[in-house]
Amino acid sequence: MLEFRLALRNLWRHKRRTILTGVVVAFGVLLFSAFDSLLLGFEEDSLRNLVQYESGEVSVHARGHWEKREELLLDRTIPGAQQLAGRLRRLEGVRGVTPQLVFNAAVNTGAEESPVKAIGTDPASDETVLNLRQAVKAGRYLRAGENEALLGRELAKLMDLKVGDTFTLVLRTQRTTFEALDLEVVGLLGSSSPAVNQGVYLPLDVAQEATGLPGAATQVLVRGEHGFHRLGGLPARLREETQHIGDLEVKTWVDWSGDYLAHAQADRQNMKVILGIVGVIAALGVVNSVLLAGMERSREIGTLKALGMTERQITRLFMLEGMGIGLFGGLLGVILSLGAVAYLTLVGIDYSQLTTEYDFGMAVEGLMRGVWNWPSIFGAWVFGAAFSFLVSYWPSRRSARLDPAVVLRG
Amino acid sequence: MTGTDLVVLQGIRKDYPQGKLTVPALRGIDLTVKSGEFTAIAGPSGSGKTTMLNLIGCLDRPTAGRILLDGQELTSLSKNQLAAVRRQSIGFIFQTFNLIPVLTALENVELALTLLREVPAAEVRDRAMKVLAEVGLAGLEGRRPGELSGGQQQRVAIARALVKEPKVVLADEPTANLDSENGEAVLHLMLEMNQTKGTTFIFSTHDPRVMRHARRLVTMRDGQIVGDERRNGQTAEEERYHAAEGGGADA
Amino acid sequence: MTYLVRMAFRNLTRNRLRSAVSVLAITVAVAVVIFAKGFVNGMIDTFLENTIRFTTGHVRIVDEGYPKKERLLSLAHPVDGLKGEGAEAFARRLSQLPGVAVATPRLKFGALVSKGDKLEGVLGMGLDLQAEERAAHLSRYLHRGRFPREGVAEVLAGQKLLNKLGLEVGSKVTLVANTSFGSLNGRTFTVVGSLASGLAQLDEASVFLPLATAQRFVDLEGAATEVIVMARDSNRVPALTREIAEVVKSGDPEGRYKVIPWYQANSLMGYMVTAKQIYNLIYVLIVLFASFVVINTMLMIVNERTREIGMLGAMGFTGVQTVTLLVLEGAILGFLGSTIGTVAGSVITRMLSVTGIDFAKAVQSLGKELLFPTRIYPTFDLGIAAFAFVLGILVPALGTLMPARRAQKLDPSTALRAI
Repeated sequence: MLEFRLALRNLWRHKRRTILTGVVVAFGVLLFSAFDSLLLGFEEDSLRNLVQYESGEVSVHARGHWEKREELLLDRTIPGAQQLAGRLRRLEGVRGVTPQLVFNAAVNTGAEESPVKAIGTDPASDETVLNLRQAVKAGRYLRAGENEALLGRELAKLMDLKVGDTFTLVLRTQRTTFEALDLEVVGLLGSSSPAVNQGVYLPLDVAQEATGLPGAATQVLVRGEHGFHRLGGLPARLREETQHIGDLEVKTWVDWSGDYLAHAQADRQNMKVILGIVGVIAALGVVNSVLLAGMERSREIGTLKALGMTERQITRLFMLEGMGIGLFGGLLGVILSLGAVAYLTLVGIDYSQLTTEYDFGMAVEGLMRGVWNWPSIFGAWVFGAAFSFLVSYWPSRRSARLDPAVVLRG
Repeated sequence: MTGTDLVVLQGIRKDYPQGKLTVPALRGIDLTVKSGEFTAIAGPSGSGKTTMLNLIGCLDRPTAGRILLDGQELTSLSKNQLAAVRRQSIGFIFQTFNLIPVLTALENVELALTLLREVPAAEVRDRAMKVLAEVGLAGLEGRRPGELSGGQQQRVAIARALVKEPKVVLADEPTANLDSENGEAVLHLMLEMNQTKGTTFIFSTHDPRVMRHARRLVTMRDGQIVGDERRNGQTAEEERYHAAEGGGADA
Repeated sequence: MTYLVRMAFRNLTRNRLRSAVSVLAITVAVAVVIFAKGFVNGMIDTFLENTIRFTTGHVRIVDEGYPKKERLLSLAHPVDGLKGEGAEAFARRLSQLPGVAVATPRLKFGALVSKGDKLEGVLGMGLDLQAEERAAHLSRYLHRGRFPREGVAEVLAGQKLLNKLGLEVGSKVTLVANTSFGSLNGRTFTVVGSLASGLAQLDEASVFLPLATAQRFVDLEGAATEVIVMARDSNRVPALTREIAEVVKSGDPEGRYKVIPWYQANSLMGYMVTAKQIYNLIYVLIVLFASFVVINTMLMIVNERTREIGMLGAMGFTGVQTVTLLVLEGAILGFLGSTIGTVAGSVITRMLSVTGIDFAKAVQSLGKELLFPTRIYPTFDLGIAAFAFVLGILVPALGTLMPARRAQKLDPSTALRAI
């Protein structure tokens, strides 16, 4: 107790020093909290977009399709997809199932043509798995059997298409002959997912007919009952159910998210480098402060030794002082972090200008928002204090080893 | 009044390296102090007084010779064992008071007891308050050293040295930084503690007015003891009487 | 002044450990700044240079409607010069301007390359290959073979594209593209050379052919999608943009053409320039943090030397001299740290500027049209070293003003009384 009191009062006595050194620790905590909030928020948004608009929670594919899914080819499809969907729907823990046919196509307006990702979706069942309906920003949703399409808003802007316009969807059938399909734009889709904003959605049956694949799907998407973070035994049950049906494979959103997570991983690496630099300078600051405190109070150290304090106790006394700097700096950092994270969660960082012009490979469009991650904010505080405590060892030990006969004389 | 051999120095030498030379600070000291004695070490500066006190106080080790404290051999002890001896058996009073500036008078005194770890926490405060009252500082317990006069600070230091009831109190020029009035008062306080509690005091001084209070006067020059005289008889009351008269036994 | 310097030096050797920690802090900060600035500049400058050379030029002249449709590689908004003089004549006219290093037309179009049943969408670039030596400077990246000649059906392609399609230099390949009239045109070319640049767009998704060949292929004779201008002096781009705009306005009264300097080409280019400024602030911050170590040390020095400072005052030292002495001490600490840090940082950065740092993983998820290299070579130049060196002396010296002012306020008589 007495040691804490001593450390605290000595820090208070040298307020300027404590503040100057603490500021560096505070900056480290602030940097970490802000970065962490943003990265985590971004990761959550990315995953939510992925699950709500693209992958579902679990997906079933013809073997070999998933791996090459980004090529959008039609060489490996699931025949009789509606029957498969029906069977999966009856499984325990399944909330919704919907088949999709995803393929390469081009939107042609006569004057211009743009390659697109076309998604044949089943209006009768897709809302049990995906959130497409909520993304309709103008017009209405698709009706089965009609030659109509929903366009992502960015694509619509690029091609100058509005609700009510018609365009030609140029696609290659499974036999690789070209087919042109005239569709009417019945609605525009807008969401925070670039995939939605750049895509073309048409009724599944229309897509199947045009591609010459009646009844087929490239993937059957499944949603469980407990949310995508708690899949439990759902993938296993789906694997068991599908293993006798033909050459199928089951993937979860975790498999799909590989790219996004790699992105986040790279960002985290960068953050670590920056934090490392701040950490080294903070460490030097703390070491210097504790060293100066020892030099300044050498006579006091002699007195404490005369009173019978051991070197170990004196070392701890000065390390506590170092930790005090970390605690103070950390507290300042937490206070600053509250402001920064509040800004990031409430306002966020708008980069919509950039994503509409360039493809940064991100799954979230327009706005990066932070999230509150209390354990990591306070964890940064604790870490700052522990870090300061540990780096204080060397200067503290040096002070504790001063020869009392010498320093008391001086 | 005096009893067993409390501090025994045998053939003590202490050399300090100074550049390439070694400078001898003590050149063969033999001295025995009995418990309850009130001993002054006198001599000009540089004669080795402080070095000897540091050796007795376990703050330093001799180059050669043996030191016994209450029969225990000190020369062979480890750093931590020496710290324990200082904690339990030795009280220090310094020329520059050396109170911990960020602690109050009371906390400075408590620190000595807390470090001892033998006294229950509840008792620490009571004992510290009691000793502070004994040295005449009742009511000033909450003040920090910076808010006390030199004389008051040295009283706190005496209280800090005495609160753990050490075997011996070592005082290095305890009055050198005080005016004569405060110096006298501090010395009387030490003497009174010696009389009433039987605490052994060894203090260094080069002030003749201080020496005359000593029951035993050891004189040093150039790292050797050149005189050792014992004087009897004067009690604290007589001492006060003499002080009031303005005269001394020897000046 | 010299005696002040000598005193400052002596004072710093009084407690060497304390001085060493201050020097170390500045050393670390200065070295970090040199490396970080080298790295960031390396990344941003390479990106800007690539983008300027291959996409925006220093200045680009396009049809007003083109920027919005550029992603579609539309041929509906071509540039055919002023009063129909043709893109080449227009480029020659711009080349006459004194500030222009080269002006050259480019024809970009979308095409499909097929080989057997494999099909790849690519960017076709019709270029005046001779003029481009001073703009895109493609010969740096020529990996195999040679450049295509005019008048024959030859193309140059990215090496990775060839690998993907199972082709090699010498193979025949069929290109299919929409012409400017909206009809499909197919033609077989011989691949006479390949490129390896480290830029995904060029290596994986582009074919290059002589301008005239491209014009015939997509039915856009005499025209191009854009004319890009490279300036002689890259710092004079704003002025050059105005001059070009004058020329264009004189022959294009209805304002069909837009003259766009690189920094306004898109918001990313603007962001990059701002990013460099922000980073400069961060460097100052890093050195400032390290200077806190020096400031703390100087604060202690002032406390410890109260008596001495009082004595100097009594001897007739003026307040300014006291401040100078202390600031000198801070500056000397900064100077020592800065010198060591500059040397260390320069050596490290110089070494890495040769070997480069692999960034393939970080850029693979980016779109190809972002011309980020897979290997980043930090720039090292004397400007960066000088920037960090000066920062490492200036910031701690200024920081020392605070403790020095405290010393200045000391009154000699009180200072002398202090213990």
